[in-house]
Amino acid sequence: MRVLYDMKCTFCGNVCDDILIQIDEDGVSTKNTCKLGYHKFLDHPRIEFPQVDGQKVSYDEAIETAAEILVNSKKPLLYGWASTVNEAIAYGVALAEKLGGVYDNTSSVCHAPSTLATQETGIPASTLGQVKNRADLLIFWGCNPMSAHPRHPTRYSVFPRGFFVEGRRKRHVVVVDVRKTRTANIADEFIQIPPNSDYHIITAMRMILAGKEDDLPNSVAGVPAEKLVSLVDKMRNARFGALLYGLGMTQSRGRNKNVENAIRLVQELNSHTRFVIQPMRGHFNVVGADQVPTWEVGFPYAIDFSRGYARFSPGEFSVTEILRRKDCDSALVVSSDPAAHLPARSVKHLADIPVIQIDPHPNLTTRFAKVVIPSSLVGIEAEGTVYRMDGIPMRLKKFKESEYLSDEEILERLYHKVVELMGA
Amino acid sequence: MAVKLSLKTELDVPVEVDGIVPSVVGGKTLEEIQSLEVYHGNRVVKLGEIFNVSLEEGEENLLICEGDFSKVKWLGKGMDGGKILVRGNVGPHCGAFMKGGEITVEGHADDYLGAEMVEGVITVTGNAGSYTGAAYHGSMNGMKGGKILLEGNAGSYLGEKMKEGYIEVRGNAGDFVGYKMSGGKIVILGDSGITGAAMKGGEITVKGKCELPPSLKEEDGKYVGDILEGGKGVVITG
Amino acid sequence: MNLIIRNGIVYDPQNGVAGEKMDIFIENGTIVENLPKDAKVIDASGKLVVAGGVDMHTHIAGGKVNTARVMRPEDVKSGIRRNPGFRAESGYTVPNSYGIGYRYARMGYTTAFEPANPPISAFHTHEELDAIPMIDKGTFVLSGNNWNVMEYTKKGDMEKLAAYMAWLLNRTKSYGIKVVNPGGIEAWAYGKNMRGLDDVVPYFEVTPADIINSLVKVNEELSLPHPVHLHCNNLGVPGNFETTLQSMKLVEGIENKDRPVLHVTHVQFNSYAGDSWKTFSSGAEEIARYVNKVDNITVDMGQPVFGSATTMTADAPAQFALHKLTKAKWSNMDVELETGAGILPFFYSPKNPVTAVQWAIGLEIGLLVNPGKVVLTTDHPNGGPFTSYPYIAAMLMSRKKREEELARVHKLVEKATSLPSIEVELTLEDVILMTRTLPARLLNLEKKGHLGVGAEGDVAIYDFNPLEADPSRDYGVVEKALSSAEVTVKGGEVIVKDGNLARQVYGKTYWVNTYTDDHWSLIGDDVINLFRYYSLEFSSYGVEEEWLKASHPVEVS
Ligand SMILES: [Zn+2]
Repeated sequence: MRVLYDMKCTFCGNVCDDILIQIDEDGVSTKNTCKLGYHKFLDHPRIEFPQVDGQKVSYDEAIETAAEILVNSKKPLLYGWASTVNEAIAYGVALAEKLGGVYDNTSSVCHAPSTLATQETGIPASTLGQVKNRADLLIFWGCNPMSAHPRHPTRYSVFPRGFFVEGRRKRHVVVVDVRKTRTANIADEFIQIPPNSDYHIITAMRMILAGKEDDLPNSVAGVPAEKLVSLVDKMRNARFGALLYGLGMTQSRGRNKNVENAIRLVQELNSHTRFVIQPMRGHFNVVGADQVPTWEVGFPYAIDFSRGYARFSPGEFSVTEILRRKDCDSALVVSSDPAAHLPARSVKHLADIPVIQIDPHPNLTTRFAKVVIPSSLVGIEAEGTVYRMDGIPMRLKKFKESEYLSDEEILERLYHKVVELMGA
Repeated sequence: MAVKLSLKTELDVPVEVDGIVPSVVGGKTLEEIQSLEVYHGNRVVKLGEIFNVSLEEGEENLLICEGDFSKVKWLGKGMDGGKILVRGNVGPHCGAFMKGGEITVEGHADDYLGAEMVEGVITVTGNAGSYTGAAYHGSMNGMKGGKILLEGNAGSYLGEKMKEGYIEVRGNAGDFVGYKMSGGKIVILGDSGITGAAMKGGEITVKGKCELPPSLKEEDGKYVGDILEGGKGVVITG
Repeated sequence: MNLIIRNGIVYDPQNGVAGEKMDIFIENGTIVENLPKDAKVIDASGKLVVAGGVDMHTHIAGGKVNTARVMRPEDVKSGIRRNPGFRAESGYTVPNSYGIGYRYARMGYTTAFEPANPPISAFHTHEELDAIPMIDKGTFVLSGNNWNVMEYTKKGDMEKLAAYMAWLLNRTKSYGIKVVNPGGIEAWAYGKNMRGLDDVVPYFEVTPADIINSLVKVNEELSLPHPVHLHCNNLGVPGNFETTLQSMKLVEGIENKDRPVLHVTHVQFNSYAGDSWKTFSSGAEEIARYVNKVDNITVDMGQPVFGSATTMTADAPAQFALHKLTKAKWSNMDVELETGAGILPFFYSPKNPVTAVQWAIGLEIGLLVNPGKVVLTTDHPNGGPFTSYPYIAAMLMSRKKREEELARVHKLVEKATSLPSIEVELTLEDVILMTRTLPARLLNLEKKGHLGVGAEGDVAIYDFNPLEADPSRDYGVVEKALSSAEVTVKGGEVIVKDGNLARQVYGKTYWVNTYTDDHWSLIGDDVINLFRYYSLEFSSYGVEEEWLKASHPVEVS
C-alpha cells in the first residue's frame, strides 16, 4: 500500500493541496476531499484509443489528421484549457498564433465579465491566506461555495483559525443572493435581492458609503434602504473585509458592469478600512488559462490571431459568439465539453465543422468530434502547473502511470506537426 | 463611377475589409480594385476572389455593397469621405473610427457600429447590435463626433463613453445606454433599459420608458448625474 | 561556434578600454585571447562595440506584471510587431514576454533582473522569466515584510535570520534580497503605513530601521553576491529624501571589499524635498552628495520619461495613495504573510509641474552621482519602458539635448531643481559603465558587463563611430544608434542582425544556492509552524530546480 500526502485536488479553483491518497490492490482512496473532489479521484470511463471518424488509429495518425484539419482552416477555434496545466496551455497559445486561429477558454462563459471590469477599473484583491488571517467580515455575493467550492469556507474564509481572527465566532458572514443557498445557512445574515438587481443595489451601497443616502428612495429594487445602510456600516467598520462573488453577479443582468460597480465599491471602502474583492473562480486552472496567454500574447481570452498578432474581442472571439456567428471552420477542444455547456444555438455549429477533441474522458462533445485524442489525467497521471483561484501557482504531481500521452505531450507534438506542415 | 461589391459565394468564415473605403477604391480601375487585399480568416486574399466587383454609373466615391454582408467586418473603418451604401445586412465594426462621409445600411448592422467614430453620418434602416457609437475595451472615449441614426433597435452599451456627437434610435435600446458618457446627445424614441449609469456629461432623451439607476437625481423634471461620478449628465424621460 | 568581431571601436570600462580599435574573439560562447582566421567574422569597422547591456532592475515577470497586462488592453494594443519566423510582440509599457526579450536584444542588452519576487508565487515569476527569450535572467526575493524576517529581527536572532534567508533564496530560486517599504506593506494589511524609520510595525514591534539593519547584516553574513536591494520607505512622498538619507546612514561603517552593502533603487522616487505637492522640489543634490561621499552604497536612477507608464510595485500603500491622487484604475494584491503589490497606469507629462520635476530629479541623480555608483534605469515600467534607455543616455551625454527638452517642460523645473544649471555631460564611457560594467559588478556576475578574456560572449555593435560622433553635439545620431543594435551577440550566437531578430535563444536563470541542511535544522520548526497561517501546505511552497528552463545556481563561499 502506498500513502501519499499533500496531493492536490483538481476539481475547483480551491486546488486543495492537503489530499491524502491511499493506493492498494482495491484501487485509490482519498481523505480530506470534499464530495466533488472525492468524485474526481474515482475511476471514470476513458476514451480508450485515438480515433479518426470513429476508427481506431495511432496517436501519430490522429495528430497528423488533426494538424491537417487545423492547417487547412481559415479560422480554427482552440477552446477549453481551464482543466489542463499551464505547460499545455502555452503550446495551445503558440499553436493558435502559428495557425492564425482563435484562442478562448472557459472563462468566457463564467468570469470573463470580471476581466472586462478589471480592464476598466483594476481590482484590489488578496491571496486567500490574507482572508483567512484577517477578514472579520465576509460577504458572499452571488456565489454558493458550500455547493460549488465546498472547502472554501473551511480552509480559507468562514471557519479557519486565522492569525489575527480567531475563527468562526470572530467573523461576520453575509450572503447576498437571489435565493437562500446552503452558504446562506452558515451565514450570520442573508440578504435576499431580486434577480438582476445587482447593479442598482451596488450603486445604492456606493451612494451610502459616499454619504448620499438621502438621495436614495426608501427601497432599492425592492430591498429596503435601511438594510443596505446597515450592511455598508458593517463594511466600513470591518477591520478587514472581503467581498467574494460568483456567477450570480457575473452572469446576471449587468454582468461586467455589476462587477465594475462592486470593484469600485471596494476601492472606495479602502479609504475607510481595508477591503478586498475576489472572484470565486470555477475550474481548477481557469486562472492559468487566462494568465498564460496574457504573458504569451497580452490578452487572457477571446483572442484572434488571424492577422499574425493578438486581437481581443469577446463579442466576436469568445466561444459562444464565434460559434453562434458560425465564424470558425474547425475547432480543437481541450479538456472541456462545450456541447454540454453552451447554448444550443452555439453547439449547432460544432456539428457542421471538423472538431478535434483532446480529453481523458468521453463527453457530449466526443459525439461531434472527427478526431478524438485521449490524454492522461492531470494531477493523477500527469504533472504540470496550475493556478489557484487567487493566482497562487501549484505544481501537480502524478501518482499513477498511464498508457496515455499527456495534454502537454499531445499539444507539443501537434504544434510541431503544424509547424512542419506550414513550413517556417 | 460608383463601385459595386457583391459576394461571389456565401462566406464560411468572415472577411475583414478594413482599407476598402470610398477614397481608396474611388478613381481606381476595376483590376486595381479587384487586386486590393483583404483578410479572409487567416488568409490574405484579393478583393476580387471574394467579391464580384463592378463599376457602375453613379456618384464618384460611392461604394455599393449588394446583398448580405453580415459576415463582412470592418466595412468603412476609418473612412474619411465618400459614401457607402449597403443593400443588406452588415457585420461588426461598420464605420468604426470613421472620420467623415456617409454610410447607409438598408438592413441590420452588428456590434460596434460607428465605434469611436469622429465625424460623418451612419444611417441604418434596421437594428444595430451592442456597443453602437461606443469605445473599444480599454479606450478612454467612444464616439467623438458625427451622427448615428437607427430606424430600428439598438443593443446594449449604446454610446458607451461617448464624448461628442449625436445618436438617434427610433426603436428601443438595451441596457447601459450612455454608460460613462461625457458629452454628446442620445435620443431614443422607444424604451430603453438601464440608462445614464456612470454618466459624466451629455444628454440622453428617452421618449418611452427607461430604467434609471438610483445615482441619477431628479432636478426640475430631469435626472442629473451620475452623482457618484460628480457627473453633470442629463436624462430626460417621457 | 566561433566568432570574430573585427575592427570595432571598443569601450570596456572594466578593462580600461576606451575607444580602441580591437578585435573580439568568441569561442564556444566565451571571449578568448585569439582565434584562427577561419572563424566567422563580423566586420565592425568604425562601429561601437561594447558588452551586452545588463539591467538590474526591471519589472518583466510575475503576477503584478501580468495583472498590469490584464488591466491595460489599451497598452497591449500598442507596439504590435509580427516578427515573421518568431513570435508576435505587443505592448508599450507592458510588453508580452516575447516583446520583452526581443526588445532587450534589439537594444543590445543580454541580461535583465526582475526585482520583485513574492515568495508564495515565486513559480509564477519563474514561468514568466522562462517565457522571455534572448536574455539571461534572475530575480530578487521580497523580504522586508515577511513575518519570519520580522520575528527573527525582533528577537535579534541573526543566525536564524541568515538561515531563513538562505532557505528562502533557495526555495524561490532568487538571486538577492529585496526590501520594499520595510514594515509598511505589513501595516497596509490593516490600512496603515510606515512614515519613518522608527515607526513600529503593528503586532511585530520592529521598525523599518531594524528590518534594514538585520537584512544587511545577514546579507553580509551569507556573503551574497548582490547588496541588499532597498526600495525605501515613503516612496513618492514630498520630503522623502530625508528618509532615504537616514536609510543610507543605517549602513555606515559596514564594508565589503567586493561590492557595496546597500543598493538604493529607483532613487528618483525617493529624492523629493518640500513638505507637500505645493512645495514639491528636488532633494537630489543631498542624495547625490551622500552617495558620492560613501563607498558602500550604490543607486539606480528610476528615470521617468514623458508619456505613458505603468506603475507596479510591492509598495501597495504607496500605490493606494497614488490612486487617491490620480483616480486612475487601481489593482492591489495583498500577499499573505509576505508582501503585497499595487498597480496603476500613470502619465508623465512635460506640462505637469509634478511629473516634470520628477523627470528633472531623475536626471539630476544621473548627472550628479558619480557614474561608478549609479545605474541607468527607468524602474521599468514605473518611470516608462526600458526602451527609453537610449533617450536617457543621450540626455546624460548632451546638455544641448537637455536644453531642448527643458524648453518644453513646466517652469517649476527651474525653481524646484538644479537641472537647468547642471553643466555636466557624461561621456560615452560613463554611459557604458552605467549600463554594463556597474550593474554586472553589483550583481557580481564576473563574466558579464565586460569584454575581457573569460567573459561571456555577450556583445552589442552599434552603428556609429564613437571616435567621430560627439554625443554632446550629435546626440540624435547616438540615441538612434543605441536604440537599435546593428548586431547583438548572446553567448557567442548572433541573435540580432541589421537591427532584426536573427535567432531565438533562451538564456539562463541565475539564483543563489547557499542553503544547507544546517540552516534547516535552525529554522525548520519555525517555518513549519507558520504554515498554519498560510493557505497552502508547506510542501506546495517554492520552486524546484528542475522546473526551470535553464537553472544556473551560483554557489557562495
Ligand atoms: Zn522597481
